[in-house]
Amino acid sequence: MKSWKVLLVDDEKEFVSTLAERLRLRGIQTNEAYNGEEALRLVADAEPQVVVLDVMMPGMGGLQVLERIKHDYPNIEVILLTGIGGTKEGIEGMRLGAFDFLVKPLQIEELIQKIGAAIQKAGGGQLD
Amino acid sequence: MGKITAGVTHDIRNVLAVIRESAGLLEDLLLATNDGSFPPREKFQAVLARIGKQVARGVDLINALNQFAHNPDQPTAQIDINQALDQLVVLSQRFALSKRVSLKAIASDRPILLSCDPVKLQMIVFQGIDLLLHVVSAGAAIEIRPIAGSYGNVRVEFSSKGAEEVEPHRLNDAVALPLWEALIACAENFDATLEQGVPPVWFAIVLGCHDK
Repeated sequence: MKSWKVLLVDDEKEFVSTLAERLRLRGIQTNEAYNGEEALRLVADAEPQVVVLDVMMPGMGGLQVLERIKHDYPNIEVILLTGIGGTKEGIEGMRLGAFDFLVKPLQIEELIQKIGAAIQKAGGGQLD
Repeated sequence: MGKITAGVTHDIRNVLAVIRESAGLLEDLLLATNDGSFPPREKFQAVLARIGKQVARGVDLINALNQFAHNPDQPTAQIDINQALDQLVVLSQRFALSKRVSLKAIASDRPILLSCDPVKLQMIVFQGIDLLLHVVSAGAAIEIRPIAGSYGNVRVEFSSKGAEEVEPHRLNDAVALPLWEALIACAENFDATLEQGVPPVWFAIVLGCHDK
């Protein structure tokens, strides 16, 4: 039985809700947040193991959210989503403590592989 | 220009991400009901594969556009010539398709770097592509190939293969002559030299290195 808990954060609601549904079909518990403030609330309430976090969001940006998560919940791993021109954000994110980054549009198999690796690093279970 | 394009390509990237995930979800649902109860299954799978292919095509285009738009960010930069040619070929495919001509950049075996003005490089290479698209016949295959010179310069050869013979004198005909003259002017502006080629090479642009 998979015990993975993931939080998806992106201001593109249709992207988040569709990706969340695909992850749930694969047995991964998934919550959704559409902005930075909501993400921080859900991190506190739902206690995910991994946060998949878009870098470019209106208001509180992804890197700001990342800093807050790593400060308050250092055991939660964060995977950043960037655009191709955003690799400097990806590198800055790694410096701030992100586990890894992916470029949108992503391949779900690659995302799941990275989530699994992040959970392993955090001392969680393996994918069945 | 780079900033505006970055904003637009970010949004287009999000559009492609939604399309990819939506198509992916439909594929997942089809797989989950793989019991023969859905007659148009194969048709759905074929259409979903087509969507995936077009998403990948869209991603290539916006990657090339994003890099192209950021070229004016610096007046001089260390440019990977193979990448620059590849980018221009991706962005010029629509023009090649409209002439029913194939257009490819053939990479060198090793990376070739040149310190130069990226905007001028784009202009002169595109001028060369545009010229050749006007002189070759439908069905031809245009190839652009960089060759590293001995003294830090780069020779970019423009050649074609196809049913017709390469006829360099056609560069002087009524259609091509204005484009050839525009290419000459561009080369002068860029401190490059133009050489007429030996078939199948139409011409070559020789780009020097520039000291800062």
